[in-house]
Amino acid sequence: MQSLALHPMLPRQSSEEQSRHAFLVDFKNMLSRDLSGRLQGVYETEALPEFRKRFNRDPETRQDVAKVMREQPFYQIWSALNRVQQELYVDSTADCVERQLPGLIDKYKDLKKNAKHGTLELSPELKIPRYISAVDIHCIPGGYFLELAEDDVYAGARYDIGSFIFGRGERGPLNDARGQTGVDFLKKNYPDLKPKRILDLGCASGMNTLPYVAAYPGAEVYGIDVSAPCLRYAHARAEALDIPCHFSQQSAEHTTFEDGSFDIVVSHILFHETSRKAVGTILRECHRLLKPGGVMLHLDVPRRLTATTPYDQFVADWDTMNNNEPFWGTFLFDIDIRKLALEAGFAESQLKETLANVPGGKMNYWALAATKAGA
Amino acid sequence: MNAVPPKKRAQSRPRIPKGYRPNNLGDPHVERVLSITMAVATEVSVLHDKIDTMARLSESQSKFSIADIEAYEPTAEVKAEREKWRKDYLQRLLRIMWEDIPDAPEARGTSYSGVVREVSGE
Ligand SMILES: C[S@@+](CC[C@H](N)C(=O)[O-])C[C@H]1O[C@@H](n2cnc3c(N)ncnc32)[C@H](O)[C@@H]1O
Repeated sequence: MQSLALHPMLPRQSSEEQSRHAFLVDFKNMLSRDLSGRLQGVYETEALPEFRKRFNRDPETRQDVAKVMREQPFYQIWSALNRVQQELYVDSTADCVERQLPGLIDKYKDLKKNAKHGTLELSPELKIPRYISAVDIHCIPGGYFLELAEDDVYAGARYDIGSFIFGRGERGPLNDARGQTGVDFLKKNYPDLKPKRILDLGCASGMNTLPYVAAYPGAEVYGIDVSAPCLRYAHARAEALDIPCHFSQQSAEHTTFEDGSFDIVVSHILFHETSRKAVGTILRECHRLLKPGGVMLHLDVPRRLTATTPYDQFVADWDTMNNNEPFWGTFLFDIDIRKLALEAGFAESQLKETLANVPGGKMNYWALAATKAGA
Repeated sequence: MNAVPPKKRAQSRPRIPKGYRPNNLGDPHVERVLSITMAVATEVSVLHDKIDTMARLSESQSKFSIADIEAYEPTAEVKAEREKWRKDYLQRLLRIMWEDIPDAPEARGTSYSGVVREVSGE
């Protein structure tokens, strides 16, 4: 994995770290892939009959399934192991970044000072929304906001390397599968778009923002996020890769950009980390920011469409109670996002809610797309 | 002792996430012990790779240094072998997850105390 083309901002792994991470990734795969059949077996032979006995009916919701699955010893140890895996993995990737942090900060400063075409604008006064700061999302101590030193890039670097290793190279050498999926989806579904300005909401380390620069030559690409350490890293990473991009610290709910100033507005796995209210507000902001004829596209976890049985939804919902993802289950299974998009001003006939395939891969993402009327 | 000015020196990071700590196993001590166990298991895997590196280096040279161990780049073949080892190792480590193990001592199957009585009788 280390042998893929690495950019200069990406933290390097020692040989011990490579071994440690390889084990922890395989551990996760054993839990979520190899043992999933056994988990389902426990449901079918133990939990489901127990539910029928107790309630005289079949489970209808993930909450129904939870009533009997959470009592199953196999589920309990499976779930506990998943949590242990998450904490060990995060801690180990964090160690890897922390030991290289002074050097990474120096590189950031250097790249920022010599920035060729991109920009970085931070707003220390920005109010960080509760939904992203009340708990450490997906169990990363310090979350997206930890600052260990001045000009810190720690959170951004950990996010990049953490997801890079986890993808085992399947997300491409630049760890940008979501951005590539968005580009592919737009090119296929909106082939006539000739965008001048593109905005990525909740861009974090910018991995998935940069593919839009290459896909639409001549377009100006902007990325916003509420996390300063992620944005510093994103800026340095883009400069190191020699890809022009403009990053600024803003909330996707209310940006400082003018009405109708973008042809494309995208987001990647942003929604599930926000709140029911924020999703509505962000969709309204997208409508305001788009030019007539412009397109918004939001990608998120596919299980919103693929987990359809109460059992699958229960398993998919693990992260809500075990991985500090407070909005996860509600986003996946409870909110009517089409309705929120309509309320934001998009027309029913323009809305697409579907699965978008990762180009060249087996994976896919949930996608919500819409054109703003009036072109 | 430390030449780095205090403001620039990186503080150490928090290591426990803020938020909800689930108690899947009903006893926080058991969860802690599980975490310790899996941390040890992880390090065993790390050691396995390191020993494997040393064994392979020793095949091609009689003396090698710590730097040689760190610089060693496993070939695709070696990587595949190590991956296979990890899979088998995880299988052994999590054996308990693959077997049907009754939770109550006498659940599912013959009554053990019955067998004890049976073999103890005249
Ligand atoms: C899971 S990350 C996704 C990062 C990136 N889009 C990707 O695909 O790799 C979610 C990001 O959304 C950011 N975020 C959450 N709420 C936000 C908001 N209201 N405005 C801007 N960014 C937000 C977080 O700081 C975090 O960096």
